[in-house]
This record gives sequence, structure tokens and C-alpha cells, in this order.
Amino acid sequence: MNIIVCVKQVQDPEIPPSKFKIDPETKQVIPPAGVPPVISVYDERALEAACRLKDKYKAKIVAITIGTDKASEVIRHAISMGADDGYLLCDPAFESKDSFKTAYILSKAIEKIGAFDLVLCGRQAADWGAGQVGSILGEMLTVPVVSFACDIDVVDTGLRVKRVVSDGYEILEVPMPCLITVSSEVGLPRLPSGMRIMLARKKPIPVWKATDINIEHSLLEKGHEHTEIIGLVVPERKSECEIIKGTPKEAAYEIAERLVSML
Amino acid sequence: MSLLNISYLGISGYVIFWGMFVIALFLFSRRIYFLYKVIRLGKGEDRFDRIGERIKYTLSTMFSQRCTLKSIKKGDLAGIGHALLFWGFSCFFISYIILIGFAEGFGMQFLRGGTFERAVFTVLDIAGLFVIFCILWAAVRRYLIKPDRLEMSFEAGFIMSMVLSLMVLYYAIESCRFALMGESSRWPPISMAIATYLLEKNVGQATLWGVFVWSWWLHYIFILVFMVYIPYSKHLHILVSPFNLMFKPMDRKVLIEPVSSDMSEEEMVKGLGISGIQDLKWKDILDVFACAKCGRCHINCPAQLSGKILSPREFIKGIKEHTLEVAPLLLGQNGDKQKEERGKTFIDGKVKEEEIWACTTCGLCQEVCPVEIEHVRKLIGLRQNLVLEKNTMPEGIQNMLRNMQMRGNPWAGAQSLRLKGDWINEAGMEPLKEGDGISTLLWVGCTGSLIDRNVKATISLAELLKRAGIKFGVLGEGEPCCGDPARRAGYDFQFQILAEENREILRSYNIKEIITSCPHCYNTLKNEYPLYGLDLKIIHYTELLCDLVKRDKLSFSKTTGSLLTYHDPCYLSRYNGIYQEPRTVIGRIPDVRYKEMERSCKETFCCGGGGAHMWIEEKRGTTRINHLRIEEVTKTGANAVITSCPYCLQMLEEGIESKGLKGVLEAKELSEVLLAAMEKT
Repeated sequence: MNIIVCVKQVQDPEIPPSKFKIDPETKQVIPPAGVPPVISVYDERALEAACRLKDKYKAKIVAITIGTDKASEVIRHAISMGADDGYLLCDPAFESKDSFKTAYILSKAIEKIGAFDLVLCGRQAADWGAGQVGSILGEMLTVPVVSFACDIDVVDTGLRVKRVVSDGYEILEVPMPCLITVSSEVGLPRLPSGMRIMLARKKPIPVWKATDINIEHSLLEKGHEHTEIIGLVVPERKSECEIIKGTPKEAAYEIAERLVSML
Repeated sequence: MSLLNISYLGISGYVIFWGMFVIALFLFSRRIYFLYKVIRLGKGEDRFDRIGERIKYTLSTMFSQRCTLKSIKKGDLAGIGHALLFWGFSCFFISYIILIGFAEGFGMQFLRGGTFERAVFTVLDIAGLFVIFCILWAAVRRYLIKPDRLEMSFEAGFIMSMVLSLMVLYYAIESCRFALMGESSRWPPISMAIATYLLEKNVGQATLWGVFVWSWWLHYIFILVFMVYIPYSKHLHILVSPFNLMFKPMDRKVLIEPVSSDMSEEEMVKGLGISGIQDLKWKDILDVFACAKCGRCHINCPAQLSGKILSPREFIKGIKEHTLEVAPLLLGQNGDKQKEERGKTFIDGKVKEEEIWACTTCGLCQEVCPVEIEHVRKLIGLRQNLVLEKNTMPEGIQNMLRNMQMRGNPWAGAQSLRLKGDWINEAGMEPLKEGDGISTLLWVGCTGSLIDRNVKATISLAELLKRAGIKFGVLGEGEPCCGDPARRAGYDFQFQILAEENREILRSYNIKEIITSCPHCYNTLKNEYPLYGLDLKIIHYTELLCDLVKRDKLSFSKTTGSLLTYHDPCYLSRYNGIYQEPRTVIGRIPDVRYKEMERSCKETFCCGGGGAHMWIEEKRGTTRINHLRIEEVTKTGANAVITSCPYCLQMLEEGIESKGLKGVLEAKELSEVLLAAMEKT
């Protein structure tokens, strides 16, 4: 089975609020000094799902990411977790916050990698959280998409996927090739073993530019975005606490009433 | 009166004597050669450096019996018994060589008779009494009192009856001999007294002769049996422990074997860390043969005392049993069998995974061990195998290691509200800049810069140093983890990555001297970084403060009011011998009231946080180690327990809180207490 996992490097979600700064003019997040970027948590779980399939069946895992030179770190992380190969897609032209552009670049890279049985993505990125790329990429690759998976297993007809829904889960079967976005319910990602870390440190990571993956530059130019950022603000953090007085019974009724009125 | 000149059933006494000796010697040597080959199964390690120093240490320790006598100050008097037995039996051992070997066996009869013989027997007569006394004492202790540290075994009973029989036979031989010779003298006192008694009772010559002959041969056979039995039993320690003392780690207690990060893939496939005996060093195998199962480690181990599965004594015993089981197969010629045995590992065989994670690496087992067994590095080696190869570890460890890998420190995540550096302005400090000419660095450590409670202690320390006029800088956000938790958790590659990165960072700032606030960072930077090319002057802040008060650069004017006690962090006192310094500083507080805990200094008791245990949940249903320590604190009646380690501080505070002692007892970092004892400037 050939598995391709799309991963993204993001600002550490653990950045303390005091350090989180944005530039409203350029609508950019200013990376805080001294806090290194990390792999997006959902993508790490997608990798974990891929590694579990590899543990159980014969599989080759390729990880791809779009980013600056620094993003090769997430590819190394992927290899240390169990990926066999990885590519960094790095080109100034790739700079974009638009999910369609991102999906387009990924689809071109996947085309270059060749035949695949399964593409895995995180359900959303831990930074912008749009949750669009997976589905759009599936569309571009013309394969079925299952979102929010928490368990994937191989069956005769393809894959059996357990998918998280708001009030439980549902189980679907999907033929391969397909694209699945993975939810955090898949479980804790593995800690890379020492051997794999050392392997990943030594492994060369090929860098692909736009020309390497036959990208039509015109499609990446301004004006082709499907989304536009109108404004960027840091939400104001407020917390209010009200103590409801009365006997426990009275207070309970009161809370229940208020909760009902909020529905 | 040599019994060897007589023929027995037509066979010369000499033939019987030497025949038996050769058989015994063959059995003895065969076993010793086997054990030597087993030890050689271990990996190479140079323990032959400073050989003169090593021999001197071994002889002085062995003959002074310092090794066993050191525990008597804690009320364990068995050390006295061992020492008397050792000295007493040593006399007999020498006499066996001189009197039985040379005088009888080689017919060197000039050694018999006269003052020399008299003197020898006088010494033996008295030594024999001590030996008998000690054997009876040991029997009472072992079978009636049954102390926790000993386990019942056939071996011990057998050897004790053997030694007792040898003594009884000795008195029988000598008294009969003197009675037969009709001599009367005051020396040797006991044998002569018995001889006189026998003569008074008119015991017949034939009876005396019969008893003499039988006792003599029985005595000789027992000596040979004893000789052969030793290397087959736990009393092997008689032969091995002197070597174990000799090959001890010289400067540091715990020498963790790094897992080389330059390994090729083929080498990696062979295995990482310790999974079987072939992964042990030869000294580790020597260790298990030196163990006499005295159990001093067993009754002192914090894991054992708090109800965990680990007992250092049983751990060593497990490795020994496994070694003796597997070694004959490994030594065999059959290649397939060797491979088969490769898979037969300690883990979940003789040593349980749970045991491996129960160790806090406090090193008390090694401190109290009379024969210098190194428990900790074996446990860490096993952890290396679990983590690096088998990828199994407690969840807390996994999260800690992930944080370290992703964020360069063990704490980030939900547990830390601030990142490194946030508090630095508050403390009025400036992070180092290249070219600002400051070569002294205050290495704050992850805990001291990420956990709110410890940050307070760090700020106090910085203030103290400033008041003492020390010029220092901090790295602030640029300070990574030293890697100690990763190394103790067995994730050695991560440790090495951090060590190499830190070396470059410290070099780039041209640092010459590092003051550390955390004993774990101290130990790592001082003892483990030199291997990675970083050999700077590392001082712990307690050493620096001690120096400052001695030179009157720092003085205190206010008393604390409360009764103080000091909890020694293991990595400072036991690992690095720093326990006098903090006490000197505390002693400079005016009118200080101070009480020492029962376990202190080098034999301090763990807070429960070392060896990456800050990130391991203690097993449910067991006592918490920090609660045990708090109980010891309360015995002193102190109102404040001072420490100088961020982990200890957290553990002690947690203990105080869960035991409901808040308001009665508080835990303080030394720097906080000292700052409070200074006038505001």
C-alpha cells in the first residue's frame, strides 16, 4: 500500500497569550522569538494512522509538506515516526493562506510522486483551522474523501473507516485510492524510536520547487485565491464568574433554567 | 604426630590427602574458569586505570571492614558480626595454608612445635570463639529475628553449619592432640583447657586417638567441601567482592553508558541499551557474582520502601539467575542457539518492566552496598532498550520526551503557563548578548524557569547573586534543556542531540563558568557533558554561596525564627558530595535553629522526583515516596524544610499539602531562606 501523508509546520499552539502577536496591517502572525514551530497536531495523528497501517500491513509512507527550509524538520519528524520518504515543497510562489492553492500544490506533488492508494491529512491545521485542504485535495485528485477518521483498517473492498460524528461515530467502507482526513481521536502519536531519529537525521530531504512539479505559475498569482482575509485580531480574553446563591437545590434549578434559556 | 605418614587400608595418607585436594581443586578451578568465561561475555570497559589506587582502596576497605561496618551507625550491628567473622576466619584461612598445607601436606614439620605453633594456636583459639559467637548470632538473627533485608535460603544455613562444624572440629582436634601428647600449658587457652579436662576425666588413649583421627580428616574434607561450595553459592562474594571493590567506578557513583548516535544501521539492529547479558559490561556481570544478598539495598531503596515492585537485591539476583541460566548456552559452540538466546531477554523474564521504571536513580542502593555493586546504570541500560528499541514507556515519560523533542524542554504543554524568559525582566536580569563580555552564566534549568513555584526560587537566587556582586548573565529563551530527564528515561539519543546543541550554544557565547541552580543540570553539565566536548567550570549555587559567606561577601542579619532542617538532593549530596556547603551557609544565619534529619548527607532519602520520576505517576495503591520523606521531616519538628533542588522543592511541597501540614511546615529553596535573612538593600 502506498500512503502519502500531508503535513504542515505551524506555530506552537502552546505559545502563551502574552507572546502571541499579530501584524494587523499585513494580516500576519508574527512568529515569537525562542518558540520553535512544531508539526500540526492533527497531521501528526494522520502520520500515526499511517504508521499503524504500516505496522499491520506492508506499506510505504511518503510525507510531503509546503513551507520554508525550516519545514524540513516536520519531514524529519515524519520519517522518525515511520515514514519512508519525504519531500519539502519550497518555493516563494507557494506562499499563501488559501486552501485551494495549497490543495493545488499538494495535488501536483502527489501527481509527481505517482501511484498511491491512500492520502492522509489532518482534519484541519492547528494554526488557521480551516479544515478545507483535505476535501479540496480529494476533489482535485478525483478520489473519494472520508473526513474525521479515528480508525482505519484494510478490508477486501478497500478500507473500513470509523469516523467521528457529533453524537458518536459511523463506520464507512471506501475503495482505494481515497483520501482520509484524520481526527485526534485516533490516539496519541508514537514517540519516535532512537533508531528512527538517527535515520531521519541522516536522510536527505529533496526540495521541490514549482518547476519540479509542473505548477502553472499563473494559478498561484494574486487574484486566484478563493478566500480573502478581511481582518486579523487577537480575541479579547474575558472571563466572568457569577455565583448563584441559594440552597443547592434552588441553585440547581436556577442553573438548569439558565442553561435551557441559552439553547 | 603427622597423620599422613600412616597408611589407611594400605593407601598412604599422603596419597589420600593430595588425591582429595586435587579433586577439590579441579572442581573449584573448573567453576572459577566457567565464571571467568561468563564475566568475559560482557562488553569491554577499562577499569584498570589508576591500578595502584584501586588496590590500595581494596585492601584498606577489606581488611578494615569499612564496607560492612559503615551501616552500624544506623543501628545495623550485623556489620560487627561480619567484621569479626571476616577477621576470625581469615586467621583460620592462613592457618589452613600454613599448618595443613605446608606443615602436613609438604611434610614441613619444622613449622610444628615450639613457640610459633603455640602462638598460632593461641590466635586460632580466640578467633574461633569469635567465629562461633558470630555464627550463633547470625543464626539467631536470620532464623529468629528475621530482619527484612535477609531472605531465607538453604545456602546461608549450609554455609553457617559448615563454618560452625569447622570450628567445633578444630577444638576437637587440638584438644585431643594436646591430651594425647600429655602436655599441659596455659597456651593455647581453650584447646588446652579442654585437653586438661579430658585428661582429668581419664578419657582413654584409644578414644582420644580415634576422635583425633576422625576429626582431622573430617575437618580436612570440610575445608575442601567449603572451597568447592563457595563458587557455586552466594558465598562466591568471598572470592569476587575484593575484585568488585577494586574495579569500582572511581570518581562518580553512576556511570551511564551512552548509546552511540554514530551507529550504523547494522549496529543498531544488534540492539540498543541492555536487553540480555551480552549487552552488559563485564563489570556488571562481576557485580552479580559479588552480591551476597545482604539486602542493605533492599531496606533502603525508596521504591521498595514505598511498596513498589522494585527491590535492588532481587533485581541483582534476577540478573544473576538469568546469567547462570543463559551463559552455558551462550558459551556453547552452537551458533543458532546463541541467536535463540539473544531473544531471551531479562525484560519480562527475570526483570519486570514495572521494576525498571520504579527506580528514581537516587543511588542509595549503591551508597549502602558494601561491595560497590552498580545497580543504577543497569536499570538505565534496560530503560534505553525499552525506549529506544521496544518503544514502550509510561505515558508520562512519553509526553515528557515528546515535549523535549518538539520544544526542547520537558515541561511545556499544559503544565507550564509561561515560557522561558517571561520572568527575566521581573527579576531585573538581562539575557546574555554576544560580545557583552560576561563569561559567567546562571544556568536556570527548565523547572526553575517554567514552573511558577520554582521561578520564585530562581528570582531569589538571582537577587542573592546580585547582592553578592557576582556578574552573571542568563540565556533566557535561548536556554535549552540539559537533557537529564531524557538520559534518565533512557532516551539517550535525545540527550546527545541536546548535549551537542548546548555545547555549540555555550561556545558561541564564550561561557567560561556556569552556576547551576538545579542539581540535575549540575550533574549533567559537570559529569556527562565532558564526553561531548564541553569541559567548563560548573558550580552549584550552594558551593558558590558557601564560598561567598566564607569570604564575607554575603552575610545575614535576620534570624528565621522557625526551626529548620535541610533535605539533601540526591544528585547534589550522593552524586556529587556537596552536603557540607549548604549547611555552612545555613549556619551563618544569626541565631539559627537547625535540626538534622535521620537520613541526611550522602545517605539522604529521595524526594521521589529523580530519574525522570517527575513525569511518572507513582503506582496506585503504593505510598508516595515524597510522603515518606515528609514523615521523616516531621520527626525533626522543623517548621521549614530547606532544599536546593527544584524537583525536591515541588515534591516536598506536594507532600506537605497532601498530608495536611500546610501552615505547620513549609518547603523552601535555600536561596529564598537566605534572601529573607538579609536586610533589604
